[in-house]
Amino acid sequence: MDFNLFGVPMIGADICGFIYDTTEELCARWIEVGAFYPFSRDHNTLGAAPQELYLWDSVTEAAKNALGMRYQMLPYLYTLFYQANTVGATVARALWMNFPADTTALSISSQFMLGNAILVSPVLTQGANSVDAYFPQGLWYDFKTRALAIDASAAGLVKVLDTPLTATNVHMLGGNILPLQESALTTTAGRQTPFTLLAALCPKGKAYGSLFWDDGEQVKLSAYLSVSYVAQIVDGTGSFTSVVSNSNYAGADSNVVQTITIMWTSALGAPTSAVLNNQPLQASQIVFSDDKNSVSFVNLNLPLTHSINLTWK
Amino acid sequence: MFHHSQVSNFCNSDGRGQVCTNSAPNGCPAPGASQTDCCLVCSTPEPTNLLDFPPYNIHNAFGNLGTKTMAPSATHYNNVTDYNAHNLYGLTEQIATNKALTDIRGKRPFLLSRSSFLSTGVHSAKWTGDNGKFQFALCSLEICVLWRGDVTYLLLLFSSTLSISNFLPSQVPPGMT
Repeated sequence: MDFNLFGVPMIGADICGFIYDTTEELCARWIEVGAFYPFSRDHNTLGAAPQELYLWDSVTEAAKNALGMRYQMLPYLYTLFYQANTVGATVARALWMNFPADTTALSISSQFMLGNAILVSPVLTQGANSVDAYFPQGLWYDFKTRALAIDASAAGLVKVLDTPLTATNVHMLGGNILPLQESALTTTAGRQTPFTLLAALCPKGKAYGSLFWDDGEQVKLSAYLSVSYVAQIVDGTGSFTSVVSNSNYAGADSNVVQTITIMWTSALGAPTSAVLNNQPLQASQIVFSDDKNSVSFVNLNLPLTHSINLTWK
Repeated sequence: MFHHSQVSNFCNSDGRGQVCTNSAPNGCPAPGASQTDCCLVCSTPEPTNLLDFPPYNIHNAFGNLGTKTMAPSATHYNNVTDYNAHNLYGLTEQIATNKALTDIRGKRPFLLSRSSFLSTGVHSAKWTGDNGKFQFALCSLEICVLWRGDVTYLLLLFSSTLSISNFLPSQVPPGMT
């Protein structure tokens, strides 16, 4: 958090620890938070006990869980780094940066956010199996289950989160849209997987997000994709639209948006019809979650470079 | 050495992508010799040298200030003393390395360094490990693993304000108190 303020956004500590031998519990807890460091690396010193994440069943499970979420978020993280590079924004943020008027958030150093959207609440105490996590005002969704987890729309609140050894706490703040891909064994493979656009609505039923996408290698930026997204529900009619402001990166042509997911309160309501770019979706393409907090529009097969105009009611 | 304006050309002027095909400077091992051979003129600093033995010296458990690192009286290009440029070593290294990699590969480079100073985030990623007080402020787990009461060493880091200048002084060996 400090180094992001210093203008060094690609930052992270040595996961599982450097000097001295690590332990199974320390390594599991460390990867659960370290998977969300902007720079995420397990790193050991000569002479210390091995600490590869696969050496313990529990650490393997913890790592698959946490790193799986990280890899899904890579397009979002990459967009945050683009913003850091161009306008000096931070990638990892203390809570007060997103909630400067929240006096409780000012002193919290045991949780952090990635951009505006993602809150990480790790276990930092040996032997602990729960976290007293603070949630500033808003709607907070469980990133993994896509369920509305914390309704703090009236005011910020502390919630005790059960956190077994292989679990971690990652929440998404209402009002944001994240570009996600699927987890894969390498980032190269992950870049080829279909996109999901995940919208978490704020109490007023709105969300915003963006995507920056390029080849990751060009020295002088010229070929890139830049898209902004808006989702909102007005008088029972939902819409998800995008504006493509730049699209001359040929490498994005093979990428598709396969799923658009909208998360909100039970006021979301089950859609009966949806239209994507003037084409009605089939009923099988509209999936309403059992908890009534999210609806997914699936099998869209929409090129990532195309603008989106999706409406439903 | 990274203060020289042409330093990034050192490794890319001959044979793009090759490592240092230039002839060795005076005093350095011939090409092909062990990379770990010392090519510096090393001597015991004089106790009267106020850069190596400043009036308000810290108690460095390693010995004098230049132990296992560059002596404060060592000079960089253009006779700039390390005493004055210590914190800039990593920054200038990153600028030169970023430029050399970009020139050689024609691609955006990824650099990872343990060194940081104002503006290094433009040139390189960083991993924390022993960043002095900032790691303490975070009170992350690593601090408990890395530091076992090595207060003297920490004070040395404090004295260099924001940064650790290079790898050498930062390697705390296993078993250090």
